[in-house]
Amino acid sequence: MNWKPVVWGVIVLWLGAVLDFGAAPYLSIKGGLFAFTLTFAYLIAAYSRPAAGALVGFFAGVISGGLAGGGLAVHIISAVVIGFMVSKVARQPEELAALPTAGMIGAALFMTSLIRVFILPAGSIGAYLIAAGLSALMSVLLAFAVYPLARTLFQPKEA
Amino acid sequence: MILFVFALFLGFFQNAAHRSGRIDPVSRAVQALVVPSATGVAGVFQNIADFGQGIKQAPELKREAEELRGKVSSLENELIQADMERTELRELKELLDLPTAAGRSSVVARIVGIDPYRGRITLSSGSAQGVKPRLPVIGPEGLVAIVEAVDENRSQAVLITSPEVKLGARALREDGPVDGIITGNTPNTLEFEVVRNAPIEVGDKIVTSGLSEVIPGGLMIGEVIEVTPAPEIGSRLIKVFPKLSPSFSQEVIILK
Repeated sequence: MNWKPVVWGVIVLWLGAVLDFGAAPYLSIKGGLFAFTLTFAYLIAAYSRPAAGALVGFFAGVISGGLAGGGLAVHIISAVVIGFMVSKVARQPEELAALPTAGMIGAALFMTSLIRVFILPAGSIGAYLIAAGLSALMSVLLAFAVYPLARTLFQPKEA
Repeated sequence: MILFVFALFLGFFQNAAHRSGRIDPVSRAVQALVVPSATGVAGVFQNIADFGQGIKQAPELKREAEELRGKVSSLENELIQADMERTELRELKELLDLPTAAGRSSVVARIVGIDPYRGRITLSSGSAQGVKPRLPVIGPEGLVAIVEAVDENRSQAVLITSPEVKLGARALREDGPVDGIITGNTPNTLEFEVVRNAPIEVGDKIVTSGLSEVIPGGLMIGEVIEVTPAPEIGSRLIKVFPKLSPSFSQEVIILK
């Protein structure tokens, strides 16, 4: 087994968690936040087999639920489902380019928020959805920016 | 399927820990791995934000500093006066052989994490400093949050803007106070429920009612910004703008 992507995956998820906790509140725009951990996790999932994508989602869910201090099961389940789906969608005969990948990550982020609000209703659904939409758009930018690095680190080597 | 079962198991574990006022081991481990580094990152961002804000508000800050200097000297005088009166009061009580009123003590804590999505903050004090679940967290503007779970040196509190929080509140009005229940709604608004015909107007100040055992009365919550008739629920929708503005590394007081 090639352990290199696994080690990089752990480092990238930890970095995402540090940025989620330390930087995201300062980069908020109208309630929208950069979801670093989930964006990085879904980018990794895009280069993984579906089972591995779900596993990456699981760890991303543990991190975001652990940092939030509440709703751990909801965070994990939503990230597992979407990590699995991202991996399935990304497994095309031809590799997805930067922009479609970033768009897919944004959509994945929005769907994650929808699953969360479906299981754990928010106080004001309108405000939640606006914030979730903005976060998804911000994650498209983030995914587009880090796509080349993710491709270098996690794209499986040709046999 | 295994991952789902594991997720439900961890979720159950977290809820059980919260019910007993503790932070679950998974959250504790994740926070232990992330918070120290994140605190450094947040410090950098806070400095950048402070620098930008400082430049933007320099003229206003200068004027404010002058005003504050005047206020500080006046407050120092008042403090000396208050100290003298407190000593006199204690001496008088001792003379009357009455027990000294047990004032509530407080713990100063620093906000080391904010999760605006779930309306939670992480504080730098825990059970070792005497923090317990349900204690009020107070900032310079008034009530900020309620402690939910406590670890040895860390605690988590739910912001009053979270829909999970319901508090007894009071609208301060010249024609007499109006009591009701305040509930979190969005990160920027709260809802105030009062009896049907109670007089409430935009601009009314909302404070804690003091009917709770642990949350004292008179703590500022916010100001009424909108009163809309809502015939479908046979009442009115009263929106309150919260005074709290928690920021990373801000110091708050936990009232014991």
